[in-house]
Amino acid sequence: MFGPLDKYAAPERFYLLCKSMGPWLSAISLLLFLVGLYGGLVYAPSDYQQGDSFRIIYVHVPSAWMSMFVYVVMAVSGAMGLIWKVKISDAIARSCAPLGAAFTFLALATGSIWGKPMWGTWWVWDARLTSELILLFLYFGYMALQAAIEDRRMAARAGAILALAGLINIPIIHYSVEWWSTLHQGPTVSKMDAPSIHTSMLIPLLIMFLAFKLYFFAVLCMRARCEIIEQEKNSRWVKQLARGGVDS
Amino acid sequence: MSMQVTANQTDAGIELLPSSLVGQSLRCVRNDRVLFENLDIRLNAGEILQIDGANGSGKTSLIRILSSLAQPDEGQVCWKGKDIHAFRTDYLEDLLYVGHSNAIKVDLSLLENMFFARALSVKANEQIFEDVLHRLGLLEHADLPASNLSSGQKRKLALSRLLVCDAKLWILDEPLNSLDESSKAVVTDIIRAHIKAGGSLVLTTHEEITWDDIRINRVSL
Amino acid sequence: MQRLSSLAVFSCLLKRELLLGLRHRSELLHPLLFFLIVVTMFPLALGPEPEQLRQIAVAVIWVAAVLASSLSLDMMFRSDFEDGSLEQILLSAQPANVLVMAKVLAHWLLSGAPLIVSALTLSYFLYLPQSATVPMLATLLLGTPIFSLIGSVATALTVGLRGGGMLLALLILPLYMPLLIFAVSAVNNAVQGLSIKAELYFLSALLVLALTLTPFATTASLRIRLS
Repeated sequence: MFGPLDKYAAPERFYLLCKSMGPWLSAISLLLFLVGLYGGLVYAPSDYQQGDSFRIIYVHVPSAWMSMFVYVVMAVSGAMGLIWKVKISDAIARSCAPLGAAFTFLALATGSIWGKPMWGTWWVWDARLTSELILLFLYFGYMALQAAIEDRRMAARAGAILALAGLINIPIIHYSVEWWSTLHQGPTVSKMDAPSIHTSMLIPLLIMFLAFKLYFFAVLCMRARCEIIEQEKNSRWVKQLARGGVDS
Repeated sequence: MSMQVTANQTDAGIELLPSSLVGQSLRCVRNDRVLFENLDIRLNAGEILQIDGANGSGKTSLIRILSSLAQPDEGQVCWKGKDIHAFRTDYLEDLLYVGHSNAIKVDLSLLENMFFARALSVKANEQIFEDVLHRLGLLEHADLPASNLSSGQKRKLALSRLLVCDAKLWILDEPLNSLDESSKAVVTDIIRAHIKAGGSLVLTTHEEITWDDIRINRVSL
Repeated sequence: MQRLSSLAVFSCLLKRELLLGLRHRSELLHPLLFFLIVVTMFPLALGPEPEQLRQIAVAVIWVAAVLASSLSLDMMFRSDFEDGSLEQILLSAQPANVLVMAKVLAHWLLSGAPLIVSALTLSYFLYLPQSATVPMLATLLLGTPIFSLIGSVATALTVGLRGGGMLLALLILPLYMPLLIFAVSAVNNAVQGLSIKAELYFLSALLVLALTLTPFATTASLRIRLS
């Protein structure tokens, strides 16, 4: 069905793929983190308005991007499990949820830390932060549903429908919240990613973004491996794996 | 149609009659326990498939897979040579399912219950409801809410669908549960008439059913 | 032998739902009473000054309506799930989407429509200006069907689960937020004498979107929960 991808869609192959990819992804993302953080915290010049406190965008913006990206990955892989019954996509979707929630939480936390010197308060009902907060609720809803259904297959399929419903709703939520915030505050002063960002500030941001993305895939590999073992624990290859230890 | 049947014959190596239910290498796992695997079943017109097994052996799971409510973890079920999920509507037109629960609304009268049950089936029988209730010994309660019925009477009301709906394949989960002897006789008569008319039946039951002239296939889980 | 059209089965099932609803009148009142009680708590908490109450009236009524309808969703599929009727509905050869929509429409008629009437009454108690009554009615007319439609998906996903009611609210409330924003902003605009067209268009678009997509999602969810 997926041509060359088909052979990786078998749980065993995917497990081995994750196992071999995981360390590489972790290593590269660690390297990128070091470069990106150096670039962001040391190399990039201070902002003429915000001083050094703008530097938190090197964590805030990538995690906000990732929070959306992970939801899309979760919903799309859920849909693949639902429609084509790809076994591994259930494991991927299930592994995504806590990661996405963590990125969303990080975006919220860094946003409010940035807000303290800027607005003088830890929390402001700013459009972006509010959207992120609602996204966090969507992640929590997904995880609560997964936890409430005992049968793994059923939980995965039910979760996929909820994730798809959420995916359709995310743009609606985003624009309605934007609408709401302009109504109540006028043009917002909270612009964190200025449109005309200087190149020396932008490059570390892009590196950080790449680092976040690779970090996500590295952790996804680890989590998906656990999920697949759990899901396939009755199959022959998992039993073999358990007997043969880690070297199989 | 005939093309399809021949194609299937070569594929599976088993013969398919025009109205036959075939399950191939079915596997069902519930809560990490394998209930059955490599299970083949087949049922032709005018035959009965009886599913035996201890409690928790997967009888109800098999019934739900055969009725298309649940999907097997492996294998497929075909009706008249067509996969029951791919051709769901065709299958459901021929199917009548009475599950473990009676699907009775206790706040509706018996007649209302029958009316709405018939509305859901695409092919309905022109049977007069009062006649059906009379046959089942429920006529005196016809206009009363179903909450007044005993559990055996509720079971009979659920089975009244056998008479007001028209379907080739019946799937019944413990149809004789909580029925008294005379009611059991009435229901087995209804079943017999259905088989004699060329219908098929899948059922789970603890009762011994034997008829000399009807073939009963048994599946033990 | 007779063959019922999908429309006939739709109206048949709708009739059944309404009949069942009317035989359980007291249950129908629960969400309404909840709505009334929640709204009553605000004057008690804030004080009775009309000016203050008028300012929060729209928000209070809409938030209470959201909460009340998320509570009432629980009854959409539960009894049918428990007594096996849901299996019969899904095993009918009639299109399951149509049957599910009959149930959703019945739910709206039995819980959404009464909510609209009591919301209008309550808007007088909270001193909402007369000019806002019609916009309030319009937003509720567009909004409450969306509640029932989006809610039907989450209800189908959680039917029969332990602690279903609370879980349901958790799943559904974030999805209701855009609706809340547009509806409240429309009525507030009306109070200030501004145009409410944009918000009503948005709400109508959401209604059409929900009408198009939710029947499939709800049917799929029910099939999953019954498997």
